[in-house]
Amino acid sequence: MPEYPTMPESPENAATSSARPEPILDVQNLTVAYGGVTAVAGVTFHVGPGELVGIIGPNGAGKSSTLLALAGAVRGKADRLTFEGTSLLGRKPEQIARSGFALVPEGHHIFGALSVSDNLRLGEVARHGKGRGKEGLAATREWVLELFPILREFLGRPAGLLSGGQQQQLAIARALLSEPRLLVLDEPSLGLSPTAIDTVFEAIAAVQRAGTAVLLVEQRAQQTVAAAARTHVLGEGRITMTLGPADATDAELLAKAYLGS
Amino acid sequence: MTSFLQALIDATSAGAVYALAALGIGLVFGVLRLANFAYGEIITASAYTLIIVWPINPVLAVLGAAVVGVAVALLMNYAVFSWLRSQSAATLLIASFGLSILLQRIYEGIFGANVLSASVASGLSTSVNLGGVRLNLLSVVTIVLAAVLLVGVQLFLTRTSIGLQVQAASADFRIARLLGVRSGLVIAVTFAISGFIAAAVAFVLTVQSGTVGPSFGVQPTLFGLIGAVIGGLRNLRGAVVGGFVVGVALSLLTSWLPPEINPFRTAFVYLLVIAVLVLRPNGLFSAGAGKVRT
Ligand SMILES: Nc1ncnc2c1ncn2[C@@H]1O[C@H](COP(=O)(O)OP(=O)(O)OP(=O)(O)O)[C@@H](O)[C@H]1O
Ligand SMILES: [Mg+2]
Repeated sequence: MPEYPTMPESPENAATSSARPEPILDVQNLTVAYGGVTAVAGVTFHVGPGELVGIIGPNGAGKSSTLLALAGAVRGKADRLTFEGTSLLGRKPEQIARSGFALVPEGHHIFGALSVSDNLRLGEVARHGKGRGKEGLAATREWVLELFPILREFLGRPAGLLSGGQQQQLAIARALLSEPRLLVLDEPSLGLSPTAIDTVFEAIAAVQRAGTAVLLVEQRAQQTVAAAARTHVLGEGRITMTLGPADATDAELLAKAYLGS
Repeated sequence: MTSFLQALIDATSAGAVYALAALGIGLVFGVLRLANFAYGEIITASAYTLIIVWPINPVLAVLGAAVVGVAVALLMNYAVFSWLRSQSAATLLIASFGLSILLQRIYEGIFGANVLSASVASGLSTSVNLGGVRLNLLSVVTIVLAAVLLVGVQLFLTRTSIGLQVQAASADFRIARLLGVRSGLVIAVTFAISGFIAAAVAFVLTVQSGTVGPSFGVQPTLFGLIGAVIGGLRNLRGAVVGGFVVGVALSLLTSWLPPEINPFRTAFVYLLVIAVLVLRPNGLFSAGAGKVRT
């Protein structure tokens, strides 16, 4: 398991930031509009170092738009939008990817014509210039392949020949090879079988245990609320509710979260 | 039999030239969805360099042609196409048309409307005797040069990190950027390689003709583009094969058509294009149009 660089926990640091550590991702009043249509209408949340934060909500709520704005793939406006203290506004997607922020977009989008191993090599692109040597990379590769053993068997195979669940695993593995400090996932369970979904959720838990913060957008409300420190419910571009792990067993509340209270 | 073999080698060599042109055009189309008509003017710039510098110093001429090809390609990218990256494929195509005509007028202004002549590498225009078969040396050199460049580009695309990034950007630019692929760098590298390939095409064609004029590069670009369209612009291997087929067809038509209809041989090539596009209408703009590249 590679050690990802985390926030230094020096005594001074703890003193200045009191109880709550500086968030790794800080989003304040984010809006995204396509032409005249507002998709995200002022969303505020944060992700602490090593935290798992969930976002759930119905189709068209603005979940993907939020993530794409964070990743620089669509233009967003915000009072504050920082990753590890640096503003993400106006930065190119490749710059953001190279700063330790990895997005696995909705629908995974692996390179079907390239081999599994070439897909994984592309994941390492964002890692370049990070100063961590070859040994660090070898350890990360080994860790990722242990997380997704099926990929090791198919390294030489065109990625397009993998099953949907395997492609999703490949997309997450590819993102992890950039050694991100924040892994952002957009509906990783979409279209997967129950067993494949379990594999993905287990992998997400393992990533978090390794110290990486995770922002997880999902439709599988119950599983997400149970796993996340906080789960924000998004509806029509706004956060309508925030749930904690204890709410995962409250079926009525989850249903209300989706229907809008 | 001997003449058949000679015709075959000559056809292969003609195919190799257009395969190279299709490769240069197809590489850029892959990342930018740009069918670059102005590719011909990169060839022309390298050809002028060869014709002018060769009498002074042949080595300098070859190096200079390569440098000029790469430089003109990069200049096109930074001066024109990098501003249009988020535009539709149609806009890019029209821009490349305009750029092509503009550059031809500039060449005319600098070098005049008439052709410049010099014999470049005249040693290659001789025939060699290979086991009783007389072969045009230039044809053999052309085939070897094309093979080396094709293998080189293939190794670059599959064995280097930046080559893999070019492949990723060609498949899906948006996703490639989310993985940290630097869009500007990938596009510039692609233009540079296509410029180098244009210089190779210029070399073969100037040795063949010994002359260069303002519209020197138009014909090879047109046939390279036609080949790439036939083979499928989105698929680099297909584009190269398409260019090769066009060259072979042109060359064979030249040797086999009766003299009275030989002037119409290009018409037959266009007939071939129409037939291919009707049967496989996976035309120029069917895929990737309007993709966001910025
Ligand atoms: N590229 C786009 N151009 C115009 N409108 C868009 C675009 N992308 C999304 N939208 C609109 O923005 C709104 C939010 O879409 P978004 O994809 O962010 O929702 P979502 O919560 O991710 O939905 P889903 O659960 O279906 O993935 C929708 O109304 C959608 O139609
Ligand atoms: Mg979505």
